[in-house]
Amino acid sequence: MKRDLSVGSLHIELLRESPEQLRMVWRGRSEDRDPADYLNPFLISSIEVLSDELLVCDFRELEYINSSTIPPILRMIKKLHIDGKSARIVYDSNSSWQTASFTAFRIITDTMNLIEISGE
Amino acid sequence: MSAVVSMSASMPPTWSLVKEIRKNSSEYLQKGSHSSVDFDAVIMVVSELVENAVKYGVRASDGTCVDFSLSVHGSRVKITVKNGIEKLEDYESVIFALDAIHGPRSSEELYRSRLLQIYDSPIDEKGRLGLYRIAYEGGFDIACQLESDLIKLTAWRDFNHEA
Repeated sequence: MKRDLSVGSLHIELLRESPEQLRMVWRGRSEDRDPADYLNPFLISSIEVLSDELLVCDFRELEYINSSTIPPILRMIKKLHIDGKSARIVYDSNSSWQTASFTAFRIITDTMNLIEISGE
Repeated sequence: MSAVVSMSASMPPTWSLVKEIRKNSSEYLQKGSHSSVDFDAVIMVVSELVENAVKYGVRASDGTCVDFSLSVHGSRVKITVKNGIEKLEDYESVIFALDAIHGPRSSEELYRSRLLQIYDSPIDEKGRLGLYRIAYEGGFDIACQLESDLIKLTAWRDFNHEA
């Protein structure tokens, strides 16, 4: 399993915090023209190795994403949902752009039992 | 603070133009006393508009590839991006999005609706999300004009004085 991804200003690190929990930490900025080219395969492969763990997708240290980054994040949520995985998406509630972006995703996750979005 | 940042590219732009414009815009805004919320919103709008121009624009008949300006007059910030378009459908696609933004549905509703469309149909991932994000997250108003084969997008907003 690929444990981290670094492309340009974006860094994603996958950490095992316990046998029951993995944390995917997003840092830096996602501002490339076609981030789906590398995000989709990385995120899909990261999800496919999950068994019963909770995946915490931690975006609190992410400084910025462009709108081209949003489809890969939605695809990740879809993969998690289809595969029946448990996930918690965490954003920085003190950041106005993160609050706007991630609360909007609730239109999709509010009907999902195993995936939640929370501001911290 | 009533100066202007402007940049123009008459060569087909590369993606590095987006970073360059964002950097120049950040430096310009940092001279004023804007809240971090306003700063982030303006830079996001600058990025989204210029990214669209670089991705979808072509060289216009007057030689313009991407033309950008950012100005602050009093509490009003205005961003203008021009780029050439290949076909009228490109302009009509923008007008379709702006008609929705100026219509009865809130910008939040439009943005969420677009997220759902992208979630349900990954093939239809491109287009309009950036404009809806500018309206919803950025709180900007947007207008579009067609000048021959040049499309001009203008986004504006008043700065909030509370952080």
